[in-house]
Amino acid sequence: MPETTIIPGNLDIQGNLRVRGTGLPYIPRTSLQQDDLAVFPIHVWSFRVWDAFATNLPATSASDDLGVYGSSFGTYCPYIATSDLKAAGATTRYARALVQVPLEYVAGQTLQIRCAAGMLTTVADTTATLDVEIYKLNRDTLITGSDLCATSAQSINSTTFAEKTFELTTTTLSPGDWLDLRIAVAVNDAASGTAVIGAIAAVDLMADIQG
Amino acid sequence: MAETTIIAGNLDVGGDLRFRGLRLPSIPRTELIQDNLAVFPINLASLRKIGTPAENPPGTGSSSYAAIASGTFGTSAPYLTSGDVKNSVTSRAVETVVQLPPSYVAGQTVKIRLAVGMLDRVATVYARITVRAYKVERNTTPVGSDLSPGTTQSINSTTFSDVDDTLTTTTLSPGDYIHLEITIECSDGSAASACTPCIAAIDLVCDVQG
Repeated sequence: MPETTIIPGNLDIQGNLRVRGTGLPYIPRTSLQQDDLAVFPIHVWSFRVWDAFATNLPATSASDDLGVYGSSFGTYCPYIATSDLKAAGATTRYARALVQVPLEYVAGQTLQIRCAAGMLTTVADTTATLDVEIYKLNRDTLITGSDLCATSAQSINSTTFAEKTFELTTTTLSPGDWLDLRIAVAVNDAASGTAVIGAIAAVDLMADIQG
Repeated sequence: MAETTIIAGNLDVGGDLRFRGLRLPSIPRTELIQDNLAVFPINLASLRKIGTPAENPPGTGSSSYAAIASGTFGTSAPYLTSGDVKNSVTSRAVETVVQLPPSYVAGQTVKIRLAVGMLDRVATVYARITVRAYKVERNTTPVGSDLSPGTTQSINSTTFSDVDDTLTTTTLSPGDYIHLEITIECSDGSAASACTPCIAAIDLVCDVQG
């Protein structure tokens, strides 16, 4: 049986530590370094019609629903967008998804919804914004508490896509919690001559994690 | 070049261990503490119409099909349901495929956890769920037998609660796909008011390292 060297206090090694046996005790998750703002996907295809959740987003945005576009493989990736809203006045369209807080999330730390968003073809002559609402589910078909999104609607009125980040209030959130997310694209265009389309190319959940 | 001190046997450090270089070799996943019953999502949006996986479940339950009810955003969330099945005997189901995460510890606990209950009122006879689960063989067919014990569990209460269906995990490894069927059965003998069995959330629960 190999000898055991016991150091009752602390040990500070200036160089590398090589372990040829097993490191004991096993390392708890809480001893792992926290990775801030790790990226978890919210796939565009997981979004549904906001008031008919059994229904996929339509292939053409209409009424108050965003659509899923991007069918030309090799040219476009799937994205969520409004239809052409030129000269349509103030119009708001929605999509909804369920998201789970990941196992590795450090309770109470940062959570964000990040969207890559912008305008296709032409900017609106008035405004185009993106907003997020998100509620914690209570596991009894109801939500609990109020809208966790602490960030107001943000302008996406540019043909250069940019990341828009929405901070969540995380006081009550723990790993495994389910969240009910609704995104809203609001476009106000009075008289543009070319297509005015609000689009979201990607949606992510950003979370501080350990492990 | 730094000197190397070699300790031929074990080293037991009573306090903290700080090293300013690297820990070699890199820490294997197996030396991380196992987290028991970690929760992974089975999104309601991943559920499919039983027998027709190209289609979403309907918005209203009918025939043998359980439904995804929308809920009212800001008040209630989407949920799985038979629909209002008052004064009838029904069996309605959905199916989906889930994958065991890379951090799953082979052979350790896997459960399907469902948050279940009744809206409006309880059924006069019974309301219950059953889970069936098959490992996917990766050649379009399942392999082996039903991994679920096949235990029918009552959901006949207006107070929602979690019920667990514990799978046989002898043959399961990280990355394995599991084909799930979830059936809601209800027998009710009153036409007086709505009788609506519900599943508010579904999770894959398993033991993981890392």
